[in-house]
Amino acid sequence: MTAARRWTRTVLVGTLLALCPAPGPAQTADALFDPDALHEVRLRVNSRDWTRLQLTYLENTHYPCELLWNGLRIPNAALRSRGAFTRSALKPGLRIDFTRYMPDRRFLGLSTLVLDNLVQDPSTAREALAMRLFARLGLPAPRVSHTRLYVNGRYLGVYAIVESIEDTAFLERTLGEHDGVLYEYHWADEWWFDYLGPDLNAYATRFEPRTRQSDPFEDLYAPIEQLVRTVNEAPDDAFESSAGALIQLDAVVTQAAAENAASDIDGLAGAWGVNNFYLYRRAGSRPAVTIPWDKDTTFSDADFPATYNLEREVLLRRALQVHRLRELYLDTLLAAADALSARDGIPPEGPTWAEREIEKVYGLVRDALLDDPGRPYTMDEFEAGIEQLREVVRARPDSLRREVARLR
Amino acid sequence: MSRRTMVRTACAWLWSTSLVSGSVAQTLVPGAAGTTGEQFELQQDPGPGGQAPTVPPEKPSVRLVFDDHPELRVGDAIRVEFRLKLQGDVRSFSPAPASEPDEFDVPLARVGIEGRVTRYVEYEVAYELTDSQDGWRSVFVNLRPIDLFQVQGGHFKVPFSRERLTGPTNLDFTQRAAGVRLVAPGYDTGLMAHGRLDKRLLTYAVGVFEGTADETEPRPEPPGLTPLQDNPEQLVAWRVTARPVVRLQAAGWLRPLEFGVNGTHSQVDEGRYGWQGEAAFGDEIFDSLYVNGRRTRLGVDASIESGPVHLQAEWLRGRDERRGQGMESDNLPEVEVRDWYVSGTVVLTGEARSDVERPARPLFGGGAGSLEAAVRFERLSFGSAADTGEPPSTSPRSANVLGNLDTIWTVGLNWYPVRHVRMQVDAVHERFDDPLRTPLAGHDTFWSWVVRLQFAL
Repeated sequence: MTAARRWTRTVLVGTLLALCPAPGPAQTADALFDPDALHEVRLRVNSRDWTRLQLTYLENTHYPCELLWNGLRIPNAALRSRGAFTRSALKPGLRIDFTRYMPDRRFLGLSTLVLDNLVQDPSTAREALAMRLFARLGLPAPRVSHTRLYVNGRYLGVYAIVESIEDTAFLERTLGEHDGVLYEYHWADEWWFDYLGPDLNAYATRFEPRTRQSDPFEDLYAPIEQLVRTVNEAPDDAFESSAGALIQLDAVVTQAAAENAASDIDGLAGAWGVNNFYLYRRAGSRPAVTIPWDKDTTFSDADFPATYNLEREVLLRRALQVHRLRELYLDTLLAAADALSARDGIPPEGPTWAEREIEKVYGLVRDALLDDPGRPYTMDEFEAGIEQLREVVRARPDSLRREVARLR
Repeated sequence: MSRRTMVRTACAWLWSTSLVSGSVAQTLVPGAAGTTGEQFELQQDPGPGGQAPTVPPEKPSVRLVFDDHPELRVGDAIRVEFRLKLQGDVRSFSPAPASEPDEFDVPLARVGIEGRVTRYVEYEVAYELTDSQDGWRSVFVNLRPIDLFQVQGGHFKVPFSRERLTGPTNLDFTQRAAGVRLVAPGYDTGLMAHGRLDKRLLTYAVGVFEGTADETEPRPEPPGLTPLQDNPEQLVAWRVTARPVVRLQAAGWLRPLEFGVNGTHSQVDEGRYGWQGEAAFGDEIFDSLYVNGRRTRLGVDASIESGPVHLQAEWLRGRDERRGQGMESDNLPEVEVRDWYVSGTVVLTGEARSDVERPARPLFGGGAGSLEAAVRFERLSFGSAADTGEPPSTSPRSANVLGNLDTIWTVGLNWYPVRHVRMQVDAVHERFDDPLRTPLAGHDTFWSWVVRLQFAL
């Protein structure tokens, strides 16, 4: 081949490559939850509706909205204020429902999306770090990414995009099914899973169905009453088989261990009783599973007791009396310690997995937080929050290993 | 001066005018077939035997007579008829709607008086006992210097929709057409000019009303939100009917054929006040959308009553503007409700339709009364008035509204055992296009049965 022909071929190929359109940004759910990117989500809401939502942010009224992300425009979605103690007029937590007005429509396969306003966590990283740890431990945990949020062109601040547990796509992805009954647990008072009696209303105030809401009341709550009664009244030697037939004890124990490893004071064995979880009753007669939710108060203490409140909570106390489950609990604590301190091929002097996750969030959100108009903390508090998080994840693995050694 | 005060003043004027008018002996006979059914025409009293008496009989100045109903006559100038209308229903549904409707119902318990003062003034007052919130129905005075020009003021039915203008005891079915109930305004307070040519060759009505049907409950806005646009509700309504062949002998049985066209123009307040669709028994099948601006209604109808047969058809359309209701406060296409039905009845026992309420062979009078079969087909639909090309949705701010369609068959039997009494048995079959927006979500087909006993004096 002559030099001239090679040159010609090079020019032709180069021209063809230049004419080919560059691949656009991926438009998939994986791309939406990509933890390595700071996304940009824009909402269009009728200005009167938005003002009304801000003025009545404690209500769950739905308003029509339009979502724009990554070149996609999703009209006729529904928007409402969300959160328990994190509701805000200035920076409302939001839940977007893509199916409310178009039952068969999905956005990237999703029917709902949560936009967490991150007002309770000055580091903005706790929710993401905890959920990613839980996922590494094999728990059904929602994916989390960060975004700049604009409403009607006005910057509202940094939000976390959280995969909704109430989305059938989440259930399908993590549990492989979605035909069962999903309940959201509502904290009503300090409850330790003790028996509340035969009146089903006592359970209805705590467990709100998020799927199959139109099922008969008896069908929804009699199984919950049976579960709590069995957990409380089954003889010790039959506990594992009796309770295990109704709830997946391995999953409960794994979740409790993961939460305590993440020094979560508001989970299955929280400071104020059980809290922040969903219960999914599988279709058929298979045992139910628990799913963790709302982990923005985690990683607050490197020396958090690894057995925090396990004696008070009936389900965990009785489950951990079973040797096999107790060993599973301790093994999960060690697995959490290993996950937090994992190098994943990085030299020993490099950052651990947990440190890398924190730095990733820090790098993504820092500049975006500077002009966040709804941020209820200063940038110094943000920096301090990140620093405290770094210290906790550095010390937590060894603390956990010491605890396991002591318990064994 | 408020509109209500204006109406009251007008009524007072009409009433006072009547007291200085002359008097001619008259009697009240039911109005033209298929129209109001509750309003009455004045005709010259032919006297006993249908001929004018040669010697005026001596009559007491105040008399209580009972022909079709009790009636007080004060001389020849004043007549007061006492009316009582009762209906009781037994209903059954399959499947049962989520709203769990009552299986027993008293849809009508109405008392009232009506009559005239001299030949120039008619009046009517009716009160619905089952409506504890606002029981007043007809409260009006009609001044008729001549048939061609009359003025009616007070509270009465807006001249829109042939079926809506038919009284509840004269309906062919136990339920009004669902679209008529939704679109036609019904009773309102206002002032109306109306009149007719001989033999109803042509009738007209045009009136101004308060717009009660389009009024919205004031909903307090949270502090800090600018008030919603409050549009004037005043409603202008008109109706024209014609019997084009009524004078044409060659038209034969078609001579009573009557056509009607009517419309209303009003405004709806800004808010979620658009048409709220209801199925045959009141269950919601289409949620209100955000609207703001003009509300228009349009309708055409036709009816013929000939021998034992009565045929009727009606087409109605209602539209609401949605100014500034989009995501960016942009204007959205109008939201629309459409309805049409055709119905027919036939008297199986041979009487003319106009005489069916007076059976030739009544029960306990050597016969079994009159029997009439009835059938109606109706289609009631909702949606956007224009297609924006966007996928349809049920969002209250959607540019392209996801509509719904209710297809209704009603088959019934009406039995008139004796004068004043009627028993109706109706079977109603409904099928909805959107199975999620039906009386029971997930089910798209419904059967309902109604047995009604009626007494109308």
